[in-house]
Amino acid sequence: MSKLGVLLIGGKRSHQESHAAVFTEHPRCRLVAVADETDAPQIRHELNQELADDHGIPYIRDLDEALARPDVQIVSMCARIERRGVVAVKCAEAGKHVYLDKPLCGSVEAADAIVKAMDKAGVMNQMYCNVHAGWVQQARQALESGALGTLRAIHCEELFAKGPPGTAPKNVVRKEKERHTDFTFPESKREMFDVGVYALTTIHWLTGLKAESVAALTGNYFFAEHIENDTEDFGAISMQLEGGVSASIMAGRFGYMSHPGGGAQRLVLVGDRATATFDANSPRVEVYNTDPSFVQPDRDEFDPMRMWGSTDERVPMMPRNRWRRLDGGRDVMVDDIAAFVDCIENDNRPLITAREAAQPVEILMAAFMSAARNKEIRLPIPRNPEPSIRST
Amino acid sequence: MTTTQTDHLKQLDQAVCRAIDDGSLGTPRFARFVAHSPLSGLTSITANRLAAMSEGWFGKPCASRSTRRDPTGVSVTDLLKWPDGQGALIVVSSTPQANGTSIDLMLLGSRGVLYHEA
Repeated sequence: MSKLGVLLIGGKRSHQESHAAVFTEHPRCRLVAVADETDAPQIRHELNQELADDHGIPYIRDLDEALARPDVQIVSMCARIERRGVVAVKCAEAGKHVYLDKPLCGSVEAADAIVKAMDKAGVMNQMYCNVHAGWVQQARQALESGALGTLRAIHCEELFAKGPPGTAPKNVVRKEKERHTDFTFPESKREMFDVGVYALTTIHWLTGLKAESVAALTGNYFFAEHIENDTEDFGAISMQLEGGVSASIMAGRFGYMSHPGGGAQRLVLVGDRATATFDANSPRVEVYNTDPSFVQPDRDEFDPMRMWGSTDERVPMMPRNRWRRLDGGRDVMVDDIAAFVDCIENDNRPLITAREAAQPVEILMAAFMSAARNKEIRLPIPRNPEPSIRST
Repeated sequence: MTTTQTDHLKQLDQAVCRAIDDGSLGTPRFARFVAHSPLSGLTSITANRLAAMSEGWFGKPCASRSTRRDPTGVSVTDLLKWPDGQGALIVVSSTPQANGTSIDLMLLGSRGVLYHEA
C-alpha cells in the first residue's frame, strides 16, 4: 500500500515544526512539500523555505497549485491564524484530509465557514489537542465508570513554564479588546487563546456539553513582551454549561522558573458522589542528585518565550529533570497524529473535528468580550455578516 | 468549615503572607483554589473565606465576583476580579477528593508561584 502524501502549510516558527517531525516519522506517511499562500509575508516565505530545506522537500509558493497535486492526501494546516478561515476551507474544497493546528481559527465566522466546508467536502479532519494524553483519558474513564456520580463542575488548567517572567511593570492593568484580528507576533502569543484552547477542548470532549454563558478575565501579569504586543499572558474563564454544570479554566504562560516541570496541566472533576483530580505530572518520580538544577536560560531575542522547537535546537536549554512523568514524557502529538491516520485508513470519525473545535473558539471569543466589558456573555455570540471577517 | 480546616487556613494565610512580604513571588497576581468543604451547605462559606484570604493578599476588596452555584449544592465556582487587575478562581466541592486533598492553592506572582496542597 502506498504511503499517504502530506502537504505542510506553514514552516519554521509555527507549530508545523512539530507536526512535520511527527508526520515524517509515521510509517504510513511521507512528506510531499511545504506550501503557503502566494501573498504571505516575505519572512513567512523564508521560514517556510527553511522547513522545506530541513526535510529535503520543495516549497511551493502557490497554495492552489500545491492543493491540486494528486500525490497529496493529507494537509497539515498550520497557516497563520489570521488566514485559517480561508486556507482550511481551501484544503477541504480540494478534497484533502486536514490535520488542523490549534486553535481552529480566530473568529466564530471563520469557525462556521470551516465546519461548513469540512462537512460539505466530507473530508477527514482533526484538530491537535490533548485528548489522547493519558491523564485526560483517565479522566474520561473515571467519568464513564460512574465512580464520581453525576458531573456537577469541572476545572482544567494549562500553564506553560516558559519565558523570562518578572518584566511586566507592577502598575499595568490589562485593557482587553472585544475582538482581535491580529494573532501573530514574533515575541509573544495571545496566551489565553493559544493555551486555553487545550483546556476548553478537553472540557468539551469530556462533557459533550456546550457553554451557555461565559465570564472571563485576562491579564498582563508576567511579561513585558506581551504588554508591548497588547497580548494577554494569562486568562481565566468561568462558564455555565448545559445541564447546570459549572466549568472553569486557567491558562497562560507563567515563566521558566514557575513550575518544576514544563508547566501545570490539571483537571478537577466534581461529581455528586466524589471529586477527582487528574494531573499530567502526577503520579511521577522525583529525582534529586548532584546534577545542577534547572536555570532559566538567557533571553533569546528571536524567541524570548521559547515558542518554537527550533529555538531549543539553536540555543539548547538545560533539562528540567527533577520531576519525571511515568510515561517518560510521551509526546501527545505522536498519538494524536497516529489516531488521525488511523481514522483516515479505517474511516472512523476523529475525536476532535472542526465541529468540536469550533466550540472552544466561540468560548474564547466570548471570553475576550467578557473581559473587555467586565460582564457575563451569553452564547452563541452574534455573527458579523461582513464576508472578510471569515478569513481569520 | 471544621476547626481543623479553620486552623489550617489560618496557618496557610500566614505562610502566604510571609512569602509575599519577602518578595519571593514578586507582585501577587492571581490565586487559584480547589477546595473541599465537608458539608454541601458550607461550600459558599468556604468560598467566602478563600475570597477574603485573597483580598488580604491583594491588599484590597475585589471589585466584581461571578459565582456559579450548582443547583444541588455540591459545588461553587467563583471568578473574582480586583481593580488593579488581579484575579482569583475558587472551586469548592462538598464531595470527597479521591486523593484526600482539602485545599489546593496556586498563587501566581509576577516572578514566581506559590503552591500548596494538603
